[in-house]
Amino acid sequence: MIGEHEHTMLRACSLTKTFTANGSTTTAVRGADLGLRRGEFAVVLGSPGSGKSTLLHLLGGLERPTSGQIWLNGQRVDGLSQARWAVLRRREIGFMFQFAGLIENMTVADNVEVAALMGGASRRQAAGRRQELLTELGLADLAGAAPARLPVSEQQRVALARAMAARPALLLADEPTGGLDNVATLAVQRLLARAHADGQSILLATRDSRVASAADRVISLFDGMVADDAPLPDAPREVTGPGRRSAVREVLRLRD
Amino acid sequence: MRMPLLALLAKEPAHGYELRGQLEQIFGQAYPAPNIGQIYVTLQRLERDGLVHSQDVVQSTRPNKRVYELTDAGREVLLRWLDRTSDGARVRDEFFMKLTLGALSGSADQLGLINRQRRHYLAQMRGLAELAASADRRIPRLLIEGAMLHLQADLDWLQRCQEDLA
Repeated sequence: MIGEHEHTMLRACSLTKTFTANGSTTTAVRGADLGLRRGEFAVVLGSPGSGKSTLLHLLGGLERPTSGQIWLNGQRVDGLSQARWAVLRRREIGFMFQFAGLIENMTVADNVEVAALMGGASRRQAAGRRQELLTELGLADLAGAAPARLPVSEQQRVALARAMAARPALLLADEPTGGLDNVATLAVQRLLARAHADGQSILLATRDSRVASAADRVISLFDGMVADDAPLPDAPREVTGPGRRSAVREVLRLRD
Repeated sequence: MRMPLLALLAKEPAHGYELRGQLEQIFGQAYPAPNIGQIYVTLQRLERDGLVHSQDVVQSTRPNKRVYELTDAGREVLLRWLDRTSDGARVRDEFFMKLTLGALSGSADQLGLINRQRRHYLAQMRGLAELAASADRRIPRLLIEGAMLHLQADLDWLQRCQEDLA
């Protein structure tokens, strides 16, 4: 079991979350089991209302599960206080919400830099990290802007930069490309791919299959339950030669 | 293959290898160039139907080459083709047959089929994304983006099937 922990970044067992409002109860997540190995990139897919956001909120400590257990780095965390969770989110978990959650009276640059500082970076490291992330996400020109004045799509990317500023062991992101145009989506994809190649553990909820296709593993949620959890097969390789067709290029064949 | 060749010949007469080169140049990575045999067979059929005609051009240092040219009838057929609207891509009915008919006899588990198909589409999407990243020209890139959007629609439809059959 110790050996398993060494490779496990995150593990959840029988996670359930029930909300009660005005006397009626809704169960958003029902007995979800999942794990994420260190350095693994997994996506959570599902329709709106399937429980993706709630699941991520539980794993990031923004909501407390009704029942079930969560381990982060081998440590049981589901019963931690809000304050302890806040510390985890500063250093170990980068969390990008669907609603950006930026600090409004700080510039874009400071939002990112402060996150790096709170995660333990030196001033110089924090400034370097801020510059690197904003450049990669195509936001360098907006460094001095106030987040509230930016369109939501730009706030989203600032939120992603913020979540990654402290080089967290685990990145949790909820719809990081929701509402982004093609160019911005590609920038986010490149950033995630590079972070993944550098060993970043990533769990993200998305409806964008281009983003999802880069993952090692896909977790499909349906009605709050894990309906599928399996590695993605390799991309079909280009196959050439007489009589052989490539599954990728097949889509693009000219027909008579 | 007939119409693309007619469209290329409408620009200028060409021989088979030139036509293949042009297709490759225009569509790039997004399109596996047909083998030269396929092109010659198509050209022969077009000639039989009176849509192109060919003549041998004598070359001093190399064997003669056969140059094809569009006929008036060929131009007419091409213009009619250009003028006609094209049907959208059809639903992938093979998978749907498996999903609906496989379940009838109890020989297939629908959720299992949907899950496996989703992963397969995502893997295809990854292949296309890699292809798109290497596409440095506009036409191949647009073709690949089109294929990705179709695939996205297939994935959305899979989700609809799951919701409806659950």
